[in-house]
Amino acid sequence: MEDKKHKHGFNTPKDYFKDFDDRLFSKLSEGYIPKKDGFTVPEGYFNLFEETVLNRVKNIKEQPKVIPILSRKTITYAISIAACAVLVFSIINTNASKITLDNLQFTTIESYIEDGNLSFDSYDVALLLNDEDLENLVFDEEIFSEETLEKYLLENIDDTTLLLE
Amino acid sequence: MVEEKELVSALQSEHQKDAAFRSLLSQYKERLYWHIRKIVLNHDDTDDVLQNTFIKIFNNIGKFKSDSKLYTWMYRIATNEAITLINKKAKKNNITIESVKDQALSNLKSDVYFEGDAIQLKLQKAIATLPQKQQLVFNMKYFEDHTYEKLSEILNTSVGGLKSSYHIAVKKITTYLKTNETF
Repeated sequence: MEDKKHKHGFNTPKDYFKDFDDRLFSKLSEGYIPKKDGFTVPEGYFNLFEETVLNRVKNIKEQPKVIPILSRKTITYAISIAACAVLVFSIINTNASKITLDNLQFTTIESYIEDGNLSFDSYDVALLLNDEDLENLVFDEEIFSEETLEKYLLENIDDTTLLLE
Repeated sequence: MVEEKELVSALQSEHQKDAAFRSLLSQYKERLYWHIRKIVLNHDDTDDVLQNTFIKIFNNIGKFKSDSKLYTWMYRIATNEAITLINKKAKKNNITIESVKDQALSNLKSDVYFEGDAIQLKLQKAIATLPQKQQLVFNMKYFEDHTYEKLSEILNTSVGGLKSSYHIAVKKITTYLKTNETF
């Protein structure tokens, strides 16, 4: 077009030729598509509709405004206080949890048991164990050294023949 | 038709609100009805959605900012309400959104407020095969007198995007109608 001698001065909308094919195709295709959708409404529906909506609006306006007992501000304060309380509690709790059994002195535990605060006897403890637990119990064989045992026997058993064995 | 700006300021004024709302109702009820009807398909659901749309408009008109158009704003509310209704139905019945639409489609045949013939019923089936956005674009462009510029504001999509959506939709629907000759 540019090498034409005279310019006509007409112009087209932006992208007119770019979209032309699509638009033409759509126009042609639309011939296959029915013009009407087939939906209908009950008779007098639109007149009744106005009344229905206006009544609903009237009801909304007549409803007394509900003022919530707890305003958003109050709820925010309450949540903040609760959060602070949780924070403080968790800090205290963290400190408390540092006290463990390991930190207790043996003598403290002993005196606690001797004072009768722990009324368990060996029978009660045995009841807490099942057969498997009992089997798995490893008896410390090193409670008495051979030396100690020999000394004990020498001091307490008179029958020397027994010792010879 | 009352100028939109005047209507908005009347709707936002204490004394004129009721009269302006009546005017708004009479101007837009039918247009919004047909827009919603094409999304939800049956009359009763459309009635519910249309009522809720106008109630929302009435309750929120005070917050409406005149930098967008009232017409666009109302169409957006109507579209959202219609899609919300379909989503709620799906959730309530524990089925997919597609199943809700399929049910609505299969009910059309016996719907007393659907007087469409076989080809119109087939058209609704063809539309249902499109993605949601293409359905909206097709319905609003083919059956209503929206310009691409207005559609662009309502659907928040570029004019170019809308044009290609529409052409794709028309192609798909034509193919469906040609290939599915019998029910």
